[in-house]
Amino acid sequence: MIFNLLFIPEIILSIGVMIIIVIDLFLQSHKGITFKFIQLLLLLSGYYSINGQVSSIYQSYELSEFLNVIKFILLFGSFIIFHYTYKHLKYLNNLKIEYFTISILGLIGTMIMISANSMLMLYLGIELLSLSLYALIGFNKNSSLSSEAAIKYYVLGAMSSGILLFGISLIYGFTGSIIYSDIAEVINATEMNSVEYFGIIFGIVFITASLCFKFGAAPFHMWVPDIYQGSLVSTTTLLSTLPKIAVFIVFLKLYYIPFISMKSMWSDILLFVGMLSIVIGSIFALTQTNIKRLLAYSAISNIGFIILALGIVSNEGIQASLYYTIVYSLTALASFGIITHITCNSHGIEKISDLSGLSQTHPYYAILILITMLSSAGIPPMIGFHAKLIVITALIDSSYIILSVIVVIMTVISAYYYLKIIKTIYFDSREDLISVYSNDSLILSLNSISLLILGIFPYYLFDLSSYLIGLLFAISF
Amino acid sequence: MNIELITFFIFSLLLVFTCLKVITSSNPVLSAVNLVFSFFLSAVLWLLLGAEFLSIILILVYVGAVMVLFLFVVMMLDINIAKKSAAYINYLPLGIGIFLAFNALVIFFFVNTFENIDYNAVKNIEIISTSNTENLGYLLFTKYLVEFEIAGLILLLGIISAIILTYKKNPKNKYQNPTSQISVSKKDRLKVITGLKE
Repeated sequence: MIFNLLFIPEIILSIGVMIIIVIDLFLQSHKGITFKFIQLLLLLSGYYSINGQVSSIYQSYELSEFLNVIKFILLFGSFIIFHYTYKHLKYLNNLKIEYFTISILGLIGTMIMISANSMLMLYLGIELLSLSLYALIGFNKNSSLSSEAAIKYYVLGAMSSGILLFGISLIYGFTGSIIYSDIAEVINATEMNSVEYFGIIFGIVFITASLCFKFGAAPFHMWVPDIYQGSLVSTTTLLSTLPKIAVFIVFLKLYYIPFISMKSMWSDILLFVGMLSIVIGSIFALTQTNIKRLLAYSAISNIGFIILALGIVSNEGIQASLYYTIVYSLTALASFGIITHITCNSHGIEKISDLSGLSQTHPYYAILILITMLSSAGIPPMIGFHAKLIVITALIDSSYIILSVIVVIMTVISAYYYLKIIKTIYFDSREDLISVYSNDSLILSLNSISLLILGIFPYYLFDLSSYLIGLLFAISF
Repeated sequence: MNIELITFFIFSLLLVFTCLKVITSSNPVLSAVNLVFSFFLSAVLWLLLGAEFLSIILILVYVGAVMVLFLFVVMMLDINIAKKSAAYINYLPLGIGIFLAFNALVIFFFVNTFENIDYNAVKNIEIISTSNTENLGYLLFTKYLVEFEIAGLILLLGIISAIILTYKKNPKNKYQNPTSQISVSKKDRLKVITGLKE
């Protein structure tokens, strides 16, 4: 490159969004062309993010090798999501390019969140992401459930943003800075039980509560099932992958860089939140009949694993949490992706019983669901097994024996409802019309089968995550 | 007690009172008017801190634009005056419990630790003039330039999502189509009839 610009992936996306808004006006009847342009934009941005600059010229915005890879993962994930979304919306006759412009702005929000090196930047990123999610959840105007979900998420999300700001203001008031590295210096220098110490604890508790809300972790999980159920399946796919990765990176950067000397305070909170999420996610899912609600509870329990691994505060724990996040995103993409492809009585799949007898009519899709569900349940050859195994190993290494026993029991309980879906597909008879509306399932197949392939060779992904963690932290904990 | 402290206490007590009125009054118009009052009173509190730009912005933006729009909407909608439902009483103990617990925590931590302390963590702020507006503008366009641009993106997103969520094309509406109006030619409108016999 001759010119050496910073923030290239973000700039490409932001300018691209404005171009898309304009060209969509002129190509109302050729939405396919605009969509091709959007895909090109994502690929271009992904190319520049993997070859991105590393610079610390702008203090509150980090451009590092680690974040370049994470940005690439986000862009790649949204490429797959947009592929599913386009077909789904086209089938529902609700195809509007604005859906993608709003999603891309949310994607920029996630990139800002993970790159943020100051509290102000973090807040702006979270706001950009949440605003786009409010609009996407309420996108299906014909459904009252969708509007209800949007209002619910809007009210709760605004409140959690307020709590986040309150925590940030406390941290700012007691450390005198909003830059992460400055905060880290001040916190390292504070003595136990001084004025600042209590104030900072207060701030951390508020920030934790708000981030756990955005994550959908247990005491703050009430919104998750309703919103997953109310919104379009494509929105649910987006909701269960991109924000989770971004909030996970925010957790990693906030707790392991500025707040690391407070680890005795927050590690217990994170362990509790993680444990509660796993328990609630596993037990409350047992009675669900709606497949989106069921997957929402499954998401809560998966989030629980990630937070639990973060709360251990050891190298193994961090690696396990990053590994689990990547695996969870892949699995969520595959499982929601399949649901976007299947319709029952010319509606989207709602109940679990809608899937009955899929193995007789569409055996290929039945196998894809089989793979993703076995992976979520943690059955050996699939990748989900290794993810759960690594988290539990990290727990045992740090001698949290009781917690790991509870985790194993909950994993067994949660296997019940994943197997229930498989049982419905393979052993129940069909009553109603089930159909698959897309002939082109290449990306979906690759996505699902990667769960099996990566499960047989798990060390590629594990090496990747330990390499990434090595980029982020030079020291060990 | 100096005059600043007395002013602070008077206005913050009034602020608490109006905020309570916002959530307890059953008439939505009254709630909105009380919210306007609470914005005015918080603007006074900003002024006491010496943040004159923020206090004026609060009045201009919230009172001048947001709340007036809000009042218009409330007056245009036919809203029944809500009666206090049984749920209100049912949730009251829970609310009071959370309120007391939260305040007890705050008091426990802060009153004990803040007694007789003169502590200011915020040290390095670049000040270029005595005017608030100038300082804010300077910081916004130098140190926080990227943040400023991102705020612009948030506004763009707000516009797009507001339009997409509310816009609905009504097929019954009669539209003018200027293109076809301009491109109309004599042939489309006039018909010369020949060969008529009386």
